Amino acid sequence: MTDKGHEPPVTTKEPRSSGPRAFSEEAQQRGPLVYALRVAFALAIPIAAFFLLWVTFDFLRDAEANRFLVMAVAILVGVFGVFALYFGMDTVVNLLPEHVRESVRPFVFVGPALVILSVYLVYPAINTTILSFKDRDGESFVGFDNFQEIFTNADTLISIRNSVLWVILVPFFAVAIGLGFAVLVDKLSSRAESLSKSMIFMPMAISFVGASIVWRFVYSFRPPGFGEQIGLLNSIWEGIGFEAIDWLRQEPFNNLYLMVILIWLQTGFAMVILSSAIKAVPEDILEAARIDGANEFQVFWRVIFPTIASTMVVVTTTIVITVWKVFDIVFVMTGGQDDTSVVAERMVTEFFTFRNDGVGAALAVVLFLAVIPIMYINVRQFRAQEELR
Amino acid sequence: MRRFKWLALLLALAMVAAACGDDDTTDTTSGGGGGNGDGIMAGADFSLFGAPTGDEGDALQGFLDVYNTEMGSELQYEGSDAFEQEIVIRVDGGNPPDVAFAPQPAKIVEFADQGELASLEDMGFDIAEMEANHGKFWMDLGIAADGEHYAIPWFPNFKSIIFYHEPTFTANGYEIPATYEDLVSLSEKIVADGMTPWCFGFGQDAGPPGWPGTDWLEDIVVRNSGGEVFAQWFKHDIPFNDPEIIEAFDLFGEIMFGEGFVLGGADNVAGVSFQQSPLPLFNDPPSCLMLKQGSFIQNFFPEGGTDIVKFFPFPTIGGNTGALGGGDNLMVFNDSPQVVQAIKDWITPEWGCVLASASGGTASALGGHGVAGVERLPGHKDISPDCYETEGAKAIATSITGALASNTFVFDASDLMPSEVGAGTFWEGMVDWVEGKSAQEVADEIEAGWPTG
Amino acid sequence: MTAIADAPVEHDVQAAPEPSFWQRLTNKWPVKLVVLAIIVIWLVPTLGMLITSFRPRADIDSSGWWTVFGNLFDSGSWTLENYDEVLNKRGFGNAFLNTLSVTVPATVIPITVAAFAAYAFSWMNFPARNLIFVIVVGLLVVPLQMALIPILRLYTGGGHFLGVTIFPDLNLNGTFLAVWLAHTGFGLPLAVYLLRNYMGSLPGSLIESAEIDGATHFQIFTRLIVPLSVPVLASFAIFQFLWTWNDLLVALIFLGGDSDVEVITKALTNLIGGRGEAFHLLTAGAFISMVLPLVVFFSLQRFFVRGLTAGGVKG
Repeated sequence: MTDKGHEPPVTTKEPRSSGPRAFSEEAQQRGPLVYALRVAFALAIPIAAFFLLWVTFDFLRDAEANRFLVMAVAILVGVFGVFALYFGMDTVVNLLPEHVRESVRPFVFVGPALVILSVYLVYPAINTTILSFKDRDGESFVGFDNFQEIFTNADTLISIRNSVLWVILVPFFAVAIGLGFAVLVDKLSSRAESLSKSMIFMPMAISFVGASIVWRFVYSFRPPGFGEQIGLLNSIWEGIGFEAIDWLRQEPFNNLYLMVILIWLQTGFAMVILSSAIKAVPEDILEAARIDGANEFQVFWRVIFPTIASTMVVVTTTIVITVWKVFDIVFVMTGGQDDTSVVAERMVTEFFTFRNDGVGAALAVVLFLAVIPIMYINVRQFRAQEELR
Repeated sequence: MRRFKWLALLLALAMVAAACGDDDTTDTTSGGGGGNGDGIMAGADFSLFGAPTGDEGDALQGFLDVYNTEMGSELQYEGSDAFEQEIVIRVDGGNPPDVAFAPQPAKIVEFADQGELASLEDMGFDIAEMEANHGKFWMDLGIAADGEHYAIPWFPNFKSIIFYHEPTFTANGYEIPATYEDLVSLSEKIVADGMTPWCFGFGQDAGPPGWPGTDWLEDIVVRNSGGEVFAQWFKHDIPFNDPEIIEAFDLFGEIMFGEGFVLGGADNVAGVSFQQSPLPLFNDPPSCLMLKQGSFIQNFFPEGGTDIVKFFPFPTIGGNTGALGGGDNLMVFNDSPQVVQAIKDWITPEWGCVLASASGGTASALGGHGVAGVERLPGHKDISPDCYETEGAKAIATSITGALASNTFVFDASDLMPSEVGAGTFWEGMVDWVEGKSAQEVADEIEAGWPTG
Repeated sequence: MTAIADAPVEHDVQAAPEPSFWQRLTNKWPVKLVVLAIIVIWLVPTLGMLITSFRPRADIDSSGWWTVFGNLFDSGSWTLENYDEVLNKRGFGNAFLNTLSVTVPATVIPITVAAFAAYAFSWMNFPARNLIFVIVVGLLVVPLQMALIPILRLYTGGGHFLGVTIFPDLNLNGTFLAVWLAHTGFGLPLAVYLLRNYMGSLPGSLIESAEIDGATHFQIFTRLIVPLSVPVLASFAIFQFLWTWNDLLVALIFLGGDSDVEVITKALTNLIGGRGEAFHLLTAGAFISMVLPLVVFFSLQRFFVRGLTAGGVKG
């Protein structure tokens, strides 16, 4: 490492990077004498790590154990145990013949993630796909009947229409507002910036139950005779001389009112990620642009925007997928009535309320398939990123 | 080798902790109840799973606490807001609760057909005796494809009642209507006197609106067309858009669309949650005078509300009456002897009385569940009205035990229809109807959406 | 993580931007106004909830929350009872601890696993790398609800394939470990996606020069990439923490709803009751459960500092 200046200083609080460093340097400096020790050490680490995980695994199965201890052990194992496992595996790979080593190593890094993903997501996804070709009890195969049902049933068609609208509008506004806000607060003092960002971020901290209450106090409607309006919107509406409206029952605009809730929730996500990307734009490039006479708008569009483009793709993709899967907001606020249903909400209703496993699973498959175009854009993005370096 | 220190420390921690954990376990199990404690139930440890949370959930735990003290068992109640999803996931995922209870017999029959439940016959229940105690109609709802019974009637709720503002009725000399025509003309009279007769709330705080409307329609169908047509209707032996049903819609319309009958107007009914619907009755002067809702709605009255707002039975149509309700049913996933014994105990009048009210009234030898304000109606014909604390509950209890004994207690049809209809299109249809769609159109749509096969 | 992150910040002090430079170029008043307007719009709904949580139950039903501004100093319009009732309800403290036992490992484990994977996807070569990565990201779309039943079956019955037992029944269900692993699984696609995008954008020259110096991948990862990726690690940590903190369903299914293992969201729904319109308790409870996530956000926010990566790159 030539770049010593940029290495994080090793502190005593920091076993994570001191371990490998101490080990490798010792090994390098003392040469073959320590080789035997090195092998023993390399073997001891994974064995110890596995043993440790096994013991804690056993302990953590005990739901009756003292909460504080469970927490302490959990955190220690979660942080250091998992790391030690990786370190151990990497050390074992170092023992392999040189020509095999580097082709095996990537799988040490990526393997655990793939194993976990296969169990928790790939397996259920395959399961769901198979189920989508079966009848409502999941017993006999019915070919494409469930899909035919989806694309002919008027209710599901409306939910598909709505989901498409959601997927276009929510990410657009969430990203636009989030980006605009991130750019603007970037120009404030760091204290003001941090405070402002917290305010926009706040909705993300509210549990789902909380969010639905928050918006009930906005959209709430009371017909004449049921007392004063306790919803903010109707109070304002009456204040400027109109009659109170049951906002969530006004087709087709009720869909927009529901989208506002998700925009309110997701803007914080877009803002946090985009803001950290803006922070990563090297200051000297910005300065150079300004010295060349660019104004702030030009700096944004010509320097900042291209640099954060890949992050924009990531944020948009993430929000698009979140929107695809949105179910709770619709379910709690309107139950999907008055033409507000969306695909994911429909899926949960079919599966759990109607117990129609086949159609529910088929809707899930429609969800999978609908993201293929988005994935395509991402692949292109990654290719471009790799060609750049 | 600092890493080793970490590992050693962690290992030591883990082992110490594991040891402590074991201690905890033995501590908790040695507690136990102080009661009889020597029967089959001694030390029994399973949980009962259901939807009620909050006070209603506390009342169920309170009931189990009394039972635990008496029997030396350690039963726990586990309530969940997400019951509907959770029970499906747990059963399909191979981790069913030992015992659960649910209001939809159809759901229980589905689990039974999947082979997940133990039948009453296999567990040694006396079916004939249960039919006499809980009503044959209710018992029959729990029959699965194999002809055996799987649902155990526990506690009902009652829907065929109309709440009214008593002081105003007395002051104006209004009489309790005996027939549906009387009900309509009373409403006209109230409007003529410058008041609003009805409060409606088809909505709910969380989830889709519509079910309170289905109750109304069903009460009319069961009276206007009789119990047989009612049964054919929910079994889909007659189509949903049968002329009998359209007629019931039209009868309901006489009230729903009567000029000035409905507070806030019919088109706003779906925007009012049922939780909120009784509140205008308690304004001074009351903003509306009548509300039809299940007996449970008394839990949403302000304090002392039952002194002002009383109820009368839903009036007759063509001389026909009916007691429409619903009820929670126990289902058994794991028929260990303790579970079976506990259920046999719970459905007795003696334990029904404990579940009935906070104190068990004057009739309970064992006390009550201890949560003030929560009363559970009798699911057994021999539960005494004296198990209840409020006059309202006593009166409802009397009519229910009567209906159970004479087998005239009929279930809410929407709970008996396939859930696509009974929790889907039927609800939506009621909302469309109040918002102006014709009865024929609504019924045609529901019929078209009836699941095939 | 804290210790690692501190280092580059200190080092980059001189490279950090001069706030005054921005200030000179921008007239800040319009900026401040727009920022303020957005903040107000974003805060009003939450403010309504906060005020509601301090109002007596009867008032909540009968008048809008903004009416308190008419009689701000009337002691009758404020109450602490709602908080009192929520906090003193049995089991709330235990639920708080349970939730922490779930959330902390369920946040840290996916970050560690994802960071290694993201590094491999960005800077190591292996067959079908891009394809695997796209599949991983595509998994974002698997709906949680559809995954619960198959996973529960694995937990309760073990893994079988074509009649062959791949692993036995591990008796995992109802344990904290079961919930951590589930949250790890559900959180991994987003984590890998975010981290890979960030790590991939770091300059290749940096990694190459380290490789020429003979550093192993493991060393490059721990000493170079992780410290440089602190902002994105912190961002993801926040989101994963929030998601697990506010989760109800996963905890209910894999941990159970018994009072000794119940999480805070469960304790909250218990307060409310199935049919109740207990807005006074709901609002208070929602605020209590918001406190810790906000603290986490504030404490992680200091990692979003300009120049963190820029400084590293320039060196």
